[in-house]
Amino acid sequence: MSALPIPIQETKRRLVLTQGGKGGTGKTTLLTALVDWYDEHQYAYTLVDLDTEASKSRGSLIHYFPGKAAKVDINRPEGLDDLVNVLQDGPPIVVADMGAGAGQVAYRWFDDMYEGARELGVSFTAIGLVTPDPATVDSVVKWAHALQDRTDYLIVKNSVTNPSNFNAWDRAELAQQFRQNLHPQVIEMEYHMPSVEGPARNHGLTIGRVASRQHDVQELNQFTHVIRAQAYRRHIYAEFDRVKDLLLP
Amino acid sequence: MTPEHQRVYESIPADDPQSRLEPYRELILRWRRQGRSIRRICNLLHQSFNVSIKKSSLHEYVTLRSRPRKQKPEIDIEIEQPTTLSAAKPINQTVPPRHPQGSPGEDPWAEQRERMRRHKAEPPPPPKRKPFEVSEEDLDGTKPLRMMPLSTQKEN
Repeated sequence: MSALPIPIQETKRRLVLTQGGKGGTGKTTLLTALVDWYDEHQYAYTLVDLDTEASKSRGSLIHYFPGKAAKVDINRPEGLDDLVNVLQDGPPIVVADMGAGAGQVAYRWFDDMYEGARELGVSFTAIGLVTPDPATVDSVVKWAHALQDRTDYLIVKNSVTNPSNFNAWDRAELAQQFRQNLHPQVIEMEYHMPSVEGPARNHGLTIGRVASRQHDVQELNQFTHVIRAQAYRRHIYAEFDRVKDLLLP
Repeated sequence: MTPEHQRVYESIPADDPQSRLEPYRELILRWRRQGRSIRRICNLLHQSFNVSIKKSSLHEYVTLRSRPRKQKPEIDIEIEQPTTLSAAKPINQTVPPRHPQGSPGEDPWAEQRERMRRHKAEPPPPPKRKPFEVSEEDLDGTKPLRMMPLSTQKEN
């Protein structure tokens, strides 16, 4: 790979994508919160679901944002090209959710298309989620090894249990090398009570919608659930504010 | 259909609904889709419309009406079709993507970009300071409380 910097004047557009790989790490949950955050600031964006697992409709971006999220088949040769086309003419932000196991296709696409996209002023943010499961650290490291410094990295420590132990992320040698060489920014997603998370996912509701009661699901209107959702929202918004450089063009 | 058959067909009015629940069909089926129990729906029908119905009758009604049919399902389940990328609409779009009368070089997203640039330039909010902070060491209940000198106590 060439080490020469690509002559880019400024970042005009940003493609924010989750790193595919290990499933069930909270990628889509995180993205739905990010979408809430963009909405809060009234930023225009395009939502793309690259998760091609046909069976996984519940819990996919399409499920949360029906009629708004576009489905793109990443295995189609031009699948990822479409994202850049949308960035060229459409809003300055594209938010894309990669499915589990999307790695190889995305790596190849970066190899072929990255430099051209940069010339268009497109910057990339790859969001990796780590949980107490060491396999999630493997996945993040694999992506970093493939994408190198062609993208900014946002690592989300997702507390899937309470309390969560991130030993693998904190202490694994490869994770340490990744932090030292590619300087990811790290935020935390706090533990979500299953009594809120479960029904919200089942009904395709983001935490933001639960927090502002924008739904008619009775079980989620319980006062304690609303208060918890508001607390989750406050926390994750504060985290997004901290790393806004990686979320905006 | 022959003209004669058509004439006969149009001359005969539709039969009355077979069930007195028929006027409430959509409502009942929606309640079921929301997960309400048969008993609850019986109560709701009674409270809202003064319609009394046995639980077993309602159960039979719902079961028959919910059964999928080959040609046209009784319940119109909304299946969300995936949007293709070319048809995807930008979300929170405040300006049209193109200005037909504007200059070709004009950036339709300039206002958005400018707001984002300003947002990025804002310093992060300072961490909130707690009005009363005590060190872990001071909270160790096994150690005696540290006392202020007597002179300070008098001043207070």
